[in-house]
Amino acid sequence: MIHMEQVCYSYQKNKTSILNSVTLHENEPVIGAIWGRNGAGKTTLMSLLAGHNRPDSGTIQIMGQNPYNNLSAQGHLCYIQENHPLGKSWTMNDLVTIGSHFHSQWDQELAKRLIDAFELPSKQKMSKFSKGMKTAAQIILGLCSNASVTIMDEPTNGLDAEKRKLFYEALLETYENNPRLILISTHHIEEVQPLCESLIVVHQGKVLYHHPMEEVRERGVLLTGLIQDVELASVGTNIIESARMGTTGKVMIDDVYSKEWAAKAQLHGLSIEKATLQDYLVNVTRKQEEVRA
Amino acid sequence: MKSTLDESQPIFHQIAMMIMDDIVEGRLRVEEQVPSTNELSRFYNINPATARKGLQELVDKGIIYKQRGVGMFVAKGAREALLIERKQHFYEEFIKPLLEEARRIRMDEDMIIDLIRGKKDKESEI
Repeated sequence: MIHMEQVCYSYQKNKTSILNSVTLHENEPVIGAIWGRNGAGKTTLMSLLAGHNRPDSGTIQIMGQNPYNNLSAQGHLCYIQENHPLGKSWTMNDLVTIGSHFHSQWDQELAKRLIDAFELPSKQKMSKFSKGMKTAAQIILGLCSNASVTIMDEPTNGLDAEKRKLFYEALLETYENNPRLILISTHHIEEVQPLCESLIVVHQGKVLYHHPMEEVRERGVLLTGLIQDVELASVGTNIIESARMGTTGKVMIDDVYSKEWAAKAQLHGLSIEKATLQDYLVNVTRKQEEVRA
Repeated sequence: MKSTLDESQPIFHQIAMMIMDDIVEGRLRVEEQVPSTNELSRFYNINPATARKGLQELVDKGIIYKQRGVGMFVAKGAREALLIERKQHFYEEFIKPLLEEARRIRMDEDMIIDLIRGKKDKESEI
């Protein structure tokens, strides 16, 4: 459904490289999360996929077509930017009309229900909307588009916990009715991870990981105990974080949290925990920086 | 069924475990329909593929079976098979850690047995 092959992109002005030989393939209609720290290149990656920019080199295909300057490829696409450009005088009614003209598979029934659920006024100008209301309007455009490839940049920004939940429920519902490729970039990885089948980690202009979510969320072993015991148990492993306090040491190991680890921890008299996905990802990307430095 | 899922295990595995618990404890009986992929996905707000994987694990083990277009049902003998399996794992999962802890705090097997019997007596007195 999407293919990126050795794509490079830099800002023309100062030739700063943003993406450096990125290769990314996704052939299955899955919900995928895109995670990366600030400035990693997430938004550039998405805007290239959406055909908003042209890569310096490499090839991009969306449903078999180059998305850049290509109306027929755009028919399969819906890209919702973080601050999506919406007409100053538009109301929700206008947005729904425009959405239904642009997207042949537009889900009018879902749009109506979501406008109600998100408590959006249908006749008020959207330029008067609060941040949360604007985000909700963007979500409606993205989910109701039913586009084969839907890409949403930080779709939960500015939403409170209740509205985020509403979005997650709507996302699963529309995905169930029409399984398609939906990519979501997010900083709220803990919330989004149960919804996603795959995880793309962007780091320093590269795709560091593109794995099934189930695989990644199993990684990250936290060991705590006497420093010498911790050291003994973690010999030969890939330590991605370590801290000490008096005689107590703590490490995070880049490995699968398994029964074998539980047994090993018990053998060495250590306490063991599964790291949170977010901590694991932060440490893995930090470690990468050290390796490169 | 639990109301929430935790971090420590794969989600699909937790789904499979919960359904197996329900079968063992008799909340789900033979030939009774188990929750569908979509029901699980909606109830726990998880990706349908994850829910499907959990159910598939049970299909592969012969615990539940698919009836095309209708749903999934508890297979005959599922409970008995699960009981045998759980009994086999009982030593590894419960007795072994019990004995290890007992050794650590200098308790011998007789003391443990006394404790189990003693506790039972107390419970029956109440």
